[in-house]
Amino acid sequence: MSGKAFSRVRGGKFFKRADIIVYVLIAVVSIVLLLVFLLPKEEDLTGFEITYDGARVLTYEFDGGLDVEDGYLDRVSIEKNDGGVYITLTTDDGVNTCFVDLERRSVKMTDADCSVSKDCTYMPALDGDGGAIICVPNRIRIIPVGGISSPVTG
Amino acid sequence: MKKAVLRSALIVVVLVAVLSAAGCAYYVDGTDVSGYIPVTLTTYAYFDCETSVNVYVASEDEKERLTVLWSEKILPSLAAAETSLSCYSAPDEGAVARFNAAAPGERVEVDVRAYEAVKLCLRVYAETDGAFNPATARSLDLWGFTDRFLNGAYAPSKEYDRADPHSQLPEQKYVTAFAELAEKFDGVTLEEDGSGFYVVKPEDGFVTVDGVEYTLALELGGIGKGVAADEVAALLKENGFEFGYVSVGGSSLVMLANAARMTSGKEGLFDVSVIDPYNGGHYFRHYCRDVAVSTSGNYRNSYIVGGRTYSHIIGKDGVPYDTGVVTASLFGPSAALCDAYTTAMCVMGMAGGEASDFATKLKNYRYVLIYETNEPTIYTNLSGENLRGYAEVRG
Repeated sequence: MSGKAFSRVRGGKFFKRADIIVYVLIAVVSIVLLLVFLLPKEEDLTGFEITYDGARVLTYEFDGGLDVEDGYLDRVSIEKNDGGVYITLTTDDGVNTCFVDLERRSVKMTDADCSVSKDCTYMPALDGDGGAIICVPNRIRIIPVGGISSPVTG
Repeated sequence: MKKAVLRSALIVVVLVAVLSAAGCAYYVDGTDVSGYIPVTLTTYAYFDCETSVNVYVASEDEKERLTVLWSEKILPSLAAAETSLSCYSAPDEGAVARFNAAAPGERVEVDVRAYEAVKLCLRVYAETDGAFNPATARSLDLWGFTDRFLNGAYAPSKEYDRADPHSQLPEQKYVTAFAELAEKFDGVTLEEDGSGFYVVKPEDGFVTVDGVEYTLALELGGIGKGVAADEVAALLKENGFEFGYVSVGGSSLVMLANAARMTSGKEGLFDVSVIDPYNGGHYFRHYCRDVAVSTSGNYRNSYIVGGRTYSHIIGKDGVPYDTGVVTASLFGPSAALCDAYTTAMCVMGMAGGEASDFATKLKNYRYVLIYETNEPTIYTNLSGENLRGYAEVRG
């Protein structure tokens, strides 16, 4: 630093306009980052898992596709139709079919041989709004990937 | 030079603060939960439903400890609760089944869990003027809501059975007799001495129809899941698991704290959604923690005859209730009590605001319910979101 420049700094104000602009920018970035990281996120569903009797059978990521666990490869079938994918899982307890809506990024149980009333087919689609789809007789559970499902009562 | 150094130092300090705040650590109740792992364990073995514990753990070691707790304490606790409280257990194994099989006037030895459950039932029976009544086992069987009707192997075997019990209504003489029998629940007494716990069936705890005697019988489905949910949540807390929730069939839940939510003002809150009975979606959402939740209603385990819904909750007249309360949820300290109170609220109805008036008077409880007259209307004293835009009355 030259002698002139050094004198300018030494003789100048502690905070210059440019400093204040930098601080304001940092404050804005800080607030944005806080909002991004700390506010609850009501996001689209990124994917879901299907479990049978507590063990994971498959994972479906909307941006990554289907991943079936070993031992279930011959028990899972898929059919592309109606703008989405029908996934049918056959277990020792029965057969369940769910529909993956690729546009809405949601999944819904569409058929099951579990009982006369087929309660699971009337449960709300899993769409990032919380909850889980449960078929008690067939011990099937569809939950969001990467976390515990939000609690649902009813 | 000194000022330049100071300015640079200030900028560095601010940057460090920003980076720290923006995701290096998340705190709930003073605990850093940023590295917590979500774990869900489920079983379908008890209460004819799915029971799940959904817990955030701090490490793989904690996950292993939870798994051990699940297999060594939680599952045995659920098994013991079902055996004790279910009317379908063998009488030599289950306390409630033993009471049901007992003769009028008999003193029945029970385990402490069943003793406390019957004690709770007697309390709520009195508080609700009989709107909650667990002595409806005979009526439930009469109307086709016991196990033998639901397992697909039903065949008429009792005097009051019909060929198709979900389309043919029972004879009135049985309806009246079993309603009269249920009223005798307030004659049940409890005894405790140094050697054990006892429930005594009243001397007049029977009715006779066409020469056949039917004795007073309990069906604790109205609180059994709540009892189980409370017990599992207590086990989690006793063992240091503070983040997560327990669900027994979705109708009984106990919320601890949510490690995935750190928002200022909402630290640790779960967003609990209540199922919409009309379309299967969710009609209400409430943010809460450290609270139990229960829901009762007539949209599940029910059938329709002549345009009227007959559900598994029996009214004081011995007939499945038809009060217009489609679903009622209660948030409060005990899942077992929430279970009993929501059942009572369905029976009380809303014609004169009975259910909401009752719930409003309960200390530390908040309610939300749908009452259907011309259109579904939400009645609530709970803060939350109306997700369907139904008409709403705030208490």
